Amino acid sequence: MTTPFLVAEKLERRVGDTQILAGIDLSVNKGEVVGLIGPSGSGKSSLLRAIAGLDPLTGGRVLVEGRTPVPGDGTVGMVFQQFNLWPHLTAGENVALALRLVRKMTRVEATERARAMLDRVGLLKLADRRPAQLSGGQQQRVAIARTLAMEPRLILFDEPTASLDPELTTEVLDVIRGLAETGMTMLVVSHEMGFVASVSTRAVFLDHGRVLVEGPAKAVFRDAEEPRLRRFLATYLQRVAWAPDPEPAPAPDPGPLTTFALLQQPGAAEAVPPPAGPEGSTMSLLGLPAASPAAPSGFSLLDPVPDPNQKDPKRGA
Amino acid sequence: MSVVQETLWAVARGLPLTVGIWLASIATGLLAGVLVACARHFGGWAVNAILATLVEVVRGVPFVVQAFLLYYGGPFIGLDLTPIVAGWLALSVYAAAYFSEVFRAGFRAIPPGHTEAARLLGLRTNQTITRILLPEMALSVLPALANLAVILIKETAILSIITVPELTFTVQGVGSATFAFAQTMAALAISYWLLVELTAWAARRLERGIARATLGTA
Repeated sequence: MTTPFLVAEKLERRVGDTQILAGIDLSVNKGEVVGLIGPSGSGKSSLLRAIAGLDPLTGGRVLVEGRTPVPGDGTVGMVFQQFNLWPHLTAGENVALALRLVRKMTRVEATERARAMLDRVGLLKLADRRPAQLSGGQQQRVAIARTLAMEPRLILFDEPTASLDPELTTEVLDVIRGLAETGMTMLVVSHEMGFVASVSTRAVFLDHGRVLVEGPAKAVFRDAEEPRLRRFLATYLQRVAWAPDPEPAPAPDPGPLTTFALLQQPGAAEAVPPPAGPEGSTMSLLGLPAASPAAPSGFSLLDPVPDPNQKDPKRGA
Repeated sequence: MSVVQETLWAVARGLPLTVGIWLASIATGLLAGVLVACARHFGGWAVNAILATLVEVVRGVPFVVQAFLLYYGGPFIGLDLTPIVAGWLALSVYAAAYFSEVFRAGFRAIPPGHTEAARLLGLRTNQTITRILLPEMALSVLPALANLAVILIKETAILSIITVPELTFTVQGVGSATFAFAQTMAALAISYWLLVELTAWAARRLERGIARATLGTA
């Protein structure tokens, strides 16, 4: 058996009395997309920063293709929540700078490649704008283009849409989804559960610096047995369930695993009963008939979408 | 020659040296100030502690004392400098201490993520400083730097007491010889004030230029 592409062994990071990473083991194969979920402060971002080599570890080690990555060696690319574009440079210059200084390309070569990368994220026309003249979603797509231009072996997404509104979120998620389809190995930290569920081959639930649940995305989201994960997902579902119907109607089939699918669950937009106790299933939370006792307690996030026309003739036409 | 003529002649003789020492000190002070700020920002706690102490010493001693110490005390440690070189060096050190604090504030005002992004993309620290951090902070540190430049113009007057033949030295000479102290001092006041106004005007032009270059706006 070949060794995995990325291996994290017993990662530990402690700052003062705070245990930020408490012995995390993770291995990722080439081409896998791993979704990292968990409450704030659970260590998701710290894990990414440790893998990138940005934060020192107090224990354990990270290997990518057998070597410990050093920041700047071209192994790991990272996309940040705050974009971190350089404000004095245009979008094109943001992408081209490292090509010139690190790859030693000429100005012409670098500019050409930068434009090709911006084209890939749909921003060719805005190459001469400065970050302040771009929307948040456009800025994040420039940041993705800047990372892609250097052809990293692995890309880490650290809450890439957490500071964007839902529309801008969608445009950024579409780019990341497209990237996943090219076979890029990626780790994605996000609170967009529907996105994580649909784009990831594997999901990892972190809490207090530990891996609590790990497995194929479908299993983690649908068959969650672990009480902390169930509570976490239930809270998320409850919040989404309160959302009004999206207008206008979404595309007929956005895929079974998106947030839209969740919103299309019958009853999802109706009044939600108070949070269920630990025993209550998430199904009842959404006003759905409780899962049969024989079936594992279900999560609607991955259930097939009923034909919207059945329940609501206004939709899906 | 009337007092007025003598005073004007003294201004004409002293002004070039005042401006020359001032600009030279700003140049070396800026360079040293950037280097000190970089070393303190990127160099670890030991480097930071040593440089912080030096900056505190320079800021804690009146400039007139520093100029005296360098010029009259220098020979005791083998530093036998001409008045002009001693004056330029003393003013450069003084400027560097204050400039370094402005640049240090500039570094701290930039989100760490901008440096982290550069690091992950493979830029070296010196490339990150010259291509990203300094241009990024240029516009915000300029008013503070211009402020210091204005203060430094007036500090050059101190160099007259270590016999640098600059503006104050030459004009004061006329005052001592003719006892026309009021007239000569008024001439000095007007001269420095005009220099300061010129500096402020240049700083405003520079600010617009930097804004165009870094923000794409006027």
